[in-house]
This record gives sequence, C-alpha cells and structure tokens, in this order.
Amino acid sequence: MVAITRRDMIKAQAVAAAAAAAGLPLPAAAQNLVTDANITDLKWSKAACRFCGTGCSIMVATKAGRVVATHGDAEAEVNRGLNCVKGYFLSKIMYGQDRLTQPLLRKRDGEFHKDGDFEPVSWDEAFDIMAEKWKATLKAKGPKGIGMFGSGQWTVWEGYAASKLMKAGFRSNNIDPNARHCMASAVGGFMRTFGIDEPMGCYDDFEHADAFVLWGSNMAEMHPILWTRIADRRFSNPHVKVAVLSTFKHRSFDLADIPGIFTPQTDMVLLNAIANYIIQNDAVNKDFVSKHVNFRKGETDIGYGLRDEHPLQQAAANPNSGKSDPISFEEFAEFVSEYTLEKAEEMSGVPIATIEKIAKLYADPNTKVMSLWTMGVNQHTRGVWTNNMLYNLHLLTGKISTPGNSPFSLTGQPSACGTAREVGTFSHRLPADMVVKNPEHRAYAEKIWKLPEGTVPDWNGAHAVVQNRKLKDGDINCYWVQVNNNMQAAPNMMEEGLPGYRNPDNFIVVSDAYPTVTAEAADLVLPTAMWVEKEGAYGNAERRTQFWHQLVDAPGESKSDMWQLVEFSKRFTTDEVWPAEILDANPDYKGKTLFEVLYANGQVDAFPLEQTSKDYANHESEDFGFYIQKGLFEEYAAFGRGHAHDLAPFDTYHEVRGLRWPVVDGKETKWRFKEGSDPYVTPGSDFEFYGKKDGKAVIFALPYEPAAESPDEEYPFWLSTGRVLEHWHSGSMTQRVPELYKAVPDALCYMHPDDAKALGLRRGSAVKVSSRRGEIHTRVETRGRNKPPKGLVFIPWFDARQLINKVTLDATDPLSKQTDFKKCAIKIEALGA
Amino acid sequence: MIMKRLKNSAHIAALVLATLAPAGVAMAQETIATLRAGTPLAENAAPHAIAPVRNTDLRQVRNYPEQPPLIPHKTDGYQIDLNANQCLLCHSRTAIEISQAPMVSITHFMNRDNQFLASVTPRRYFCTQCHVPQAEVRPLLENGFVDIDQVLEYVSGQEGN
Amino acid sequence: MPEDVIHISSLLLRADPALMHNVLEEIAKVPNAEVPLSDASGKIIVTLETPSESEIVDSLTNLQLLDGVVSAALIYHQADSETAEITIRNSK
Repeated sequence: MVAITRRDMIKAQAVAAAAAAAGLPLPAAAQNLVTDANITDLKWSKAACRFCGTGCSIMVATKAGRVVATHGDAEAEVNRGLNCVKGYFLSKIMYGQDRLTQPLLRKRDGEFHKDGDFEPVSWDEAFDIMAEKWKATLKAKGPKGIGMFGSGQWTVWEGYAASKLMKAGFRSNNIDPNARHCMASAVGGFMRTFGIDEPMGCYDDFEHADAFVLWGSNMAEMHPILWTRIADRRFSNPHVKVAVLSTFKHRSFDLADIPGIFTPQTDMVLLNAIANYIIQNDAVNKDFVSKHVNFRKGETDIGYGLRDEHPLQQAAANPNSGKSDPISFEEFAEFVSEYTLEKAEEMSGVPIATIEKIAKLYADPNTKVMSLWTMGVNQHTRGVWTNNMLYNLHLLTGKISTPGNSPFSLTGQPSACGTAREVGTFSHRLPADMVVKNPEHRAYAEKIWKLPEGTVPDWNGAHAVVQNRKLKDGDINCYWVQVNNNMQAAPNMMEEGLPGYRNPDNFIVVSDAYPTVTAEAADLVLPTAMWVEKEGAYGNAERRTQFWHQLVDAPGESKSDMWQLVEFSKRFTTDEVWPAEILDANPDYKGKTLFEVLYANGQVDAFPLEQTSKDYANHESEDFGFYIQKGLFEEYAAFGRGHAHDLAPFDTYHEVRGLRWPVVDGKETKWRFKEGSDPYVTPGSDFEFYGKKDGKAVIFALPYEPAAESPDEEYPFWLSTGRVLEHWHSGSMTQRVPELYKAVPDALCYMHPDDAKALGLRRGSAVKVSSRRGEIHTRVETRGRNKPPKGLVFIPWFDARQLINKVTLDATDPLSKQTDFKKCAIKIEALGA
Repeated sequence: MIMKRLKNSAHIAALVLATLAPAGVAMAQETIATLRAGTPLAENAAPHAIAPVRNTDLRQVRNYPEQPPLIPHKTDGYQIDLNANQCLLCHSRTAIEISQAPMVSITHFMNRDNQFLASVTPRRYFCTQCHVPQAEVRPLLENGFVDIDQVLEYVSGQEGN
Repeated sequence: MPEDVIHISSLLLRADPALMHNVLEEIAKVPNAEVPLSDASGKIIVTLETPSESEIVDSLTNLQLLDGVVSAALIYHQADSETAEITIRNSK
C-alpha cells in the first residue's frame, strides 16, 4: 500500500506549481508537508508547445523518466498560463501505444525489397542500405537525384543540420519543408513587399488594436490562445470591433461584430475594393506614402503551378512571372478604381454595407487595425498577391509597425518561422533570408561554413509539389522525409504522391515517432525522438525563439532527427560526393567525411560537453562528444548577427521565456521598421523598410484572377479543407490521445442542410466525395460547428482513415509554389449501403 | 491503461513500453499505419457512424490536476458568442446552487496580469477551447501515459526495496 | 450526487521583505492555510484546503488585506472528491 494520500499529492503539485511560478526552488524542508519529500517531488521545466505557430510556453512535470503533467506557463508573455485543449493534453502525445522503437525496413527473404513487408532492423543495417542507395543515385544522377522533405516542426538546429547536409554536403538544393504547404505565400508576400521575411509587429498588438479583421482565418480553432487575447480585448473594451471574413461560417464568427461570407477567391476583390475606398474617401496617409512607399504593377495571368503540359499552364500568358514595373500613386488609384463597392458585392456576395464597415476600420485614422490571416490567404493560387494586397491597405493608411497597427501573418507550425524560414530550409533559400541563386549569398554561406568556393549549388531545388512529381517521374530516386506526414498532407495523393513513393526506382526513408500514413508508404522507417525527448528550439510567429531541455528519454532505439542526420553524414567522404574540381582546388578537403567537414569543423564542435546542463540529459551531445546543439546554433546565428536577424547567445534562451529577434545589445525588438523600437532603423527616418535598398515598402497593383478549378455541372461543390481545434494537422499526435480523439473522432463533410436535402441526404448519411483526381468516403454533418453556405463543403484533413488529399488539387501559387487546399471542385453522392 | 505491480524495474519508461508495444511490430507486416486499421492507402474504409456524445453527467478523473475537466454532457447548439454564454447559465458562481453543476474554477476570474476580476475573465470566455465533450467511441489506440499516483507508487516501491 | 469535495489551492504572495515576520504570523492565523515555502525577497507560497471555492476567494481577499502584502495571486486550484479516489483505488 502507498503511504501517500491523493490529497497530499495534489497539495505537492499545488506547491510545486506555485514555486515554479515564483521561481523558487523546492527545498527539502518545504516538501515535508507531504509524507515523503523524496518521493513526491516533481521536476518542473519549461518547454514550447509542440503544436501550432502561436508558440505557447508550457511547464512540464517529470518523474521517474515520465512526463506526468503539463500546464500553461504563467510567466510566458504569449499565453500567461493558458493552453488550448491540445496543449493541456501534451503530457500524453508521446505515449501512444504504437510508438516506433526500432528501424523498420521492407524486406523479402532477408533482403530489402520494394514490395516486401516491414521488418525490424538495426540502425547499422538501416544506414547501410540508405548509404548504398544514396551513393548509387549520386553516382548515376548527381545531386539532383536525391531529395529531402522536412518541416517547420524541426527544431532550429535540426533544420540547420539538414539544410547544411543537403546543400553543402550532398550539394543538392532539393530540400524543402512542409512549410511550403503552409507559409510560402506569406514569405513571398513579405519578400515582395518588404524585402525581408516575417511580421514587423508582435503579439503585443493584440492589447493595443481597436479593430481586428480576420481574412479567411478561423483563429478561434486554429490559434485559440491568440483568440483569447482578442476576446479579452474585445470584451474588456466595448469600442473594439471584430470583423471575420471567410468562405464559410465557423467558430470565429461567434465573436464577430462584422461577419462576412465571400465566394472563394474573391478576397482579392474585397481587398482592392477597400484600397479603392480608402483612396476615394481621401483616407490615404499621404505623408507616410510619399516618404516610405513605392508603387508597382505586377505581371498578370501567371498560371496555376500545375505541370507544364496542363491546359491551364499552356493558356497562361506569363506563367510563373513575379515581374513588376514601377507606377505612380495615380496609376495605382486608377488601377483599383474599377473595384467599386457595387462590383465587390456582386462578385463576392458580401453586402456593400458590410464591406463599407470594414473599409471604414482601415480608413479611419483613429482606429488601430490588426489584420490577421493564415491558410485562407496563403493556400491560394494567388497567395503572394493576396498577401501583397493586404499590406497595401496598411501601407496606404500608414497603419503599420506601431502598437495595434499590424498586418499579421499567422503561422501554422511551431517553428515555421524559427526553422523553416529563418534557417532557410526551403529549396531556394539560405539562412537569414539569403537565396541560393545569389552568388554573394552563396559565398557568404561558404565562408561561414568554412567550405570551398562553389560548394553550395546555384540552382533552385525542387519544391514540395515538384518533389512529388519528380518522384513519380523517377527524377528523384532517394528521398528522406523527417518530422511530417506528407503522404496525408500533400495534394493529389492518388495521381502524384502515392505513385511517387511506390515507384520501384525510388528508395523512400521516413523518420517519425509514429507509423503514419507516410511511414507506410516508405521503404525504410526510422524511429524518432520527439519534442522533449531532445533539447530543442522553436521560433514562433512573432519572431520569438524559445528553448527547452531534454526532459525524458525517447523509447527504445529512437533517435532525434538531428542525430540521424549527423550520424548519416559519417558514411560519406568528400571524394564520394564532391566533384574533382572542388577537391583538386582544395586538397585539404580530400578524403574527409561529411561529418568532419560539416559538423566537426571547429565551430559546430567548439563547445565541450561540460557546458551542457547538469540537470538534464542530452543524448546527442553525449553521443557526438561535444555540445552539438550549441555549436549548430552559434554557427547558424553568425548568419543573422549584424544583418537584422540577430539572435541572443545560446545560453540566454535556456533562461528566458523566449526573445523576439533582432536581439540587439540584449534587447528584443517588438516593432520592426519603426524608429525607436527597431535599432536597425536609421535615426531621423521615422519608418524605414530596410529590407528594400531605398528603405521603401511596395504597394502592388494586382487584379482579381479566378481560381484554378471552380465548381461546374459535373463537380458542383467547392471543397475547402483545414484543421479542427482538437487535432493538430494530420492528427498523428492528437489522434493518439484518447480524450482528443473522443472529442472529434472522425472527419465529416460539413455542408448546408439544403444542399444535403437536395441530394437526398441528411446528417449522418454516408457519402462518396470525389473530384477528377480521387475520392474518399465520409459522413454528412449539417449541424456542426462549421456552417458552410450552399455550394461549399468543408472536410478536415486530420483523419488518417479519410485522406481528403486524394481529392484535393495540386495547383499552386505560381510564385510561392504553395498549394491551394481551399478550392477545388467536387461532387457528393450517397454511398450505397 | 492499468499498470500492474511494478517490481525491481530499472526504468519505468522501458517497462511501460515493453508491456504496451503492439505485438505486430516485432514481426513482418504489410501495413503499419495503425490509425487506418489495415486499410491499404489507396483504398477507402467504410466511414464510422457519427457517434452519440456521452451524456451521463458523471465527472471523469483527470489525468493530472492541470487538465481541464471534460464535459460529461451534450453541448449541441450551445450558444457561446458575443451575446451569451450558455455554459455559464449552470456553471457561473451564482448559478450552481440551483444547477448543482461545478462552478468555473476560480483561476477563470484572473486576468492576464493575475488579478482577480468581478466575473469570469473574457480570456476564458470561449469554454470549448479547453473543455470538450466526449463521443461514445473506443479510442483508436491505447495511450501509455502513466498517472502520477501510479508513478509514485512505483517510486515508493523502489525506495522500499 | 453529493460528494465530499475538498478544494486544494496554492497562492503566491509578494510581501514587503521588512514585514515578512508579521505577515507569516498573520497567515498562520488563517484557518486551513499553510506556508510550505517562502524566501527572503518576500515571496510566500500559501496552500489552502477549503470545502468550497468561495472560501478560497475569501482567504485570498483576507491575505491581500494584510499589512505588508503587496500582491496575492492564485496559482493552482483543484477540487478533489472522495468518489474519485475510490474509483482510482478500485481500478487496480
């Protein structure tokens, strides 16, 4: 029997929580209030939440090598003690019954076979076959024959280690993160308008704004903790207004003073109409515009990012063109003048009165406006344009970079900013907003990496959607997927993704904690340490970098993504993967392993094991013999320091609840581009958009263009996919938490009751949902939390049994290469009993 | 998940995993995506029926004290919007005498700066961000999370040996 | 159904370090309150075991009004019932 009562336990928890909040250690004497202090003591440590881009900080309690509790971190600015329901169940995400604990290889008769069954193998055998396949492909096809697909869920140093291994080690830019599906259009928007990535404002804007306008975003479900800050602001200050614009009614409408449902793709019309309204009503901030803004007109008719032979691509006048020409303010005014309120109402279906109310929020110089958007704008075949057009409104009115005036691009993944974007894991990027096409940028990277000139290749690698196409076509033959579930995420699974992975010419490796849909499509599955099973760092949507320690051990033989990458690098020598010209010109590099030239380079291995924390394990550092996370971070930080991306010293981040870069002289930056709050702004300039050479941001004249696929007689409904509050992305973590599973067990087809009735269906009817590309089987929901208008259905994508990406279209924004998951044409039929 | 008596185990994590690891992983298998329960990737399983929501009003044990309690009743059509919060009709401080429902935790009266307000803080207004009802379905998979009481029992067992 | 519920909570007080002694003496007089932890900078952790939520609020108010207390905040609160305990024990 146990001598401790349940209440003593709770009391001990209560004390521990308070001590954690107070920053007090728990001395033995204090623990005497329970029966045995040695037993009941819990270790509380901080960590970043594993889920969305909000970046909540949490406290994690561990005991006997187990995570036993989690709660919102009261000290954290982001969430001040709150979590959403997913965050409150973080304690259970690592303990799904089917955690992978050994590498699994498809085998037949004791050997690898593409059509074999999965059998457990050792790490040695796993790396042996991988290295064999990589070497054969590199020899036959060169660096373009291999590829890697990573994620905004990589920790900062994992993404950095991966990018370096691919771009400098294997000399292949065929590496892309799943942030391509998520944030690429946002990046494109930032680079085009400001010349530098990521939001200028921060979450402090929530407590300052007088109006919030949601453009296609459902923050109530997707960013619940930020939504609590909006709800707090709205209810506590009755003058505050919330406008919610979307293609269907959802939970965010519960807080909407100004609701609006628009026809898919016509957000572009609304944005131009509001720009026109601002100009027509003399609400342009002329002083700001004359000093800080240039106007340009973009090329139009740019296609839909489909395969080149697709009729829509053939029909485009300027496929994939991001070109633009300078114009005057008057020319811009003339350009948007056709977007009258009447035309906007006609095209979007939003009443003039509603559009005018929203336009007035932007136009009124005394109303501080925060615009918020995520996937509705980014997963859009004109996503970059729509981002540009959102900035247009804030630039025309000068409502930017000051508290409460904030065009805010929200993020979907925990480190889409910190890793995918800042580290430069995209196929065209290098750290600190640099790009592989720019010879100066490559030279800069090679200098920091202490690598020979010409190591980093000068070609843009294959992006997410093209990687799947190249796998199907047999152009990429070796492919490594880490920390994402792309077989469930990527569009057009039946025509592109699945045939690509199962192409007999290809060898597919998937690193994951759980046997996901993607793992099942692979040839080799590597068991992977997740979240607090390793020391980590994430960067959230407000440029906040947050660290955590390894708090528990990973099960079985699981290893972190970073360990896998660095360990794999030991199996290659420069002679095997670099061309003779480079080695002849740089004989010192001959015969070295990639591990030696990339990671044991005097920088990554500069910090000894003694510098790791005494209070926490660090398995990777113990294995490699040096503090590898610190080495990778410090080498990476060299890219951004002095270049407006300054990060604080490594050790600082283990002490604080995150800091927002640029961190200059120990001080974080809340509002960029504004004198007084951003140290990079030239004194006397007031505002300076220093991402552009002349310090001016760009307002773009861009028209409405139609979606890639619209409903027709045969496929009469719009399909939109997305997330639900209780599950994160593909559900590989949250579906394994029984409470979250039971909260929302299955994906459903949310549709208008009249549409259902017209098809002879009702709530609960089994249906086949199909497009020109594939089908799924699901059930009709007419009373749920999402209430689509007639002609549109919403089906979430978390459900591994209902792979809605069999139905979605692989059309992308031609500039950002991001898929439009919000618009394609489908039909719905009753499923025979 | 019920932990059996733990004896002389060097490491609780290892032990729990050993008892929970699905037998299949040790052998060769064709399909591994557990959540699809054997349906090949290219095929579509019959969709589950929409399950009813557990409506017993019986409270469930929390996994740890910080966990928000689950909702043990239906919430279909509940209004929680700019105009009204239907949950508070029963769970507010003044309503519980009549409703005999649990009062919202007093943490919910604290604002962002940890000060107490006269009523529930707006930051906690949307109840369903944290509290969710439960469908009457079996979990897809067991979860090996170990309750703190059981972890402590294990620890004290270790101390006693 | 009637349940024997007890509310366990913890509070974080910040007191004027010069008046710590008095504050601790006064807290000792509050029924159901204990001080498991405090430090010289004026941080005091108080645990409460009360039969209802309202008594937590009452105690918190009383503590806030004490001479030398600068602020008091509730950190943690859980209601625990006998039934829950029995359920757990029976499940083994």
